Parts: sequence; C-alpha cells; structure tokens
Amino acid sequence: MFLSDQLGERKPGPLYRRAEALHPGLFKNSVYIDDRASNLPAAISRGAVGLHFTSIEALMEDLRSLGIAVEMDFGF
Amino acid sequence: MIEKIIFDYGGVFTQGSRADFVAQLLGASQAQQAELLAFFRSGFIKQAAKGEWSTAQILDRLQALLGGLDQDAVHHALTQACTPDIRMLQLVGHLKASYPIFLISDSLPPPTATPYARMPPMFSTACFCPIN
Repeated sequence: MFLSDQLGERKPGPLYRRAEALHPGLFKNSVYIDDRASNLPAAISRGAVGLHFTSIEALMEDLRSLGIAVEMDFGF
Repeated sequence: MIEKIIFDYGGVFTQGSRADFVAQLLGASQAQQAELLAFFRSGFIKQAAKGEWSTAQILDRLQALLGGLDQDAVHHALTQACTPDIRMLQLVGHLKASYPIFLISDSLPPPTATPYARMPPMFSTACFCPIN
C-alpha cells in the first residue's frame, strides 16, 4: 500500500514518484483504477492502462475488455 | 500484457466522495454545513492527505467544529464513511488469485485507518514505508 499521509505526498505525480521509488516499474504493464480522471494521465504516462472508475459494473466490463477474467456474479 | 492491478481507494472502494463525510457528520450533529464545508475547502484535505495533520489534530478540529460532539462519534462517522464496498473486496479477492494488487491512496488517517486495518490482506505491502 502507498498511502499519502504516510508517504507525505499527494496524487498524482508526487505520490506516484514516491511509489515508483519504492517499487520500480510499478506502473509498467499495469492497470490503474481511479475515480478521478485527473489522476489517470500521470499513471498512463508511466506505462499503465488507466481506467476511470464509475461503478463496479463498469469496472468489471472494462477489465474483461482488457482480457482479465472476471467471472463473478453480484446479481447484475 | 497486464501484470498487475493498482487501485485507488476513496471513491472506488467507498461509494461517494469526501463530501459524504460532511453529510454524514451533519447527520450525526447540529453543526453548520457552511462552517464544515469551509473547513474542508480551506486546504484541510490537501494538508491532511500529505500527513500534515495528526489524527488527534484532525479529530480535535472536527470535534470543535461540531460543537463539542463526542470525539468517538466523530471518529465513528468518518470511519463509516470510508468503509469499503463488500463487492469491491470480493472483486479484489478474485483478482488477487491471478495478479499482484496494489493500492495508492490520498488517505486521511482517521477515516481510513480503521477500514484498512479491517480489510483482508489483499494488497501487496512489500513497499509500505512510513516516513514519520
């Protein structure tokens, strides 16, 4: 976990840099999920596929579109 | 090829925004909405998310704004507002079988500490590194 109040930086850029310093290549070949679209470009520029979270239903569809198996039934 | 999945917390695991904190607090007290909103917008969120406010300082300030409401009640309201959606926990539990899962969050110590502590060990914590 990379928590801003413990790392002393906020998203996107400063906290992302701190996280990458702790875990080199963190964003490369990753999916990054955030409800704030403004946080996505900095993650995408580091090699992530950015997903704007709007609902769990939409997220599951987005993950499936990336080839990530999500075989769960929440009743919707 | 996707090798790992990184989640934000607030607004993803929790439904709603920090404005919900205010609404919940107002529901638990007779505080003036304008005063609370002004405090949240005064830079408190940015400063707290950077760790510039201690848990005690945050609770003391909110308690004062809420007219002396019991600090435990303030902490409880904040914690409840940050309780994760069980479906998100189930989804992450499912994904964790195939991918390393990370969490990057602008976090406020009082409302997030309790939910984090209660969550199952689903995130990679190898790089967790407090600076204080």
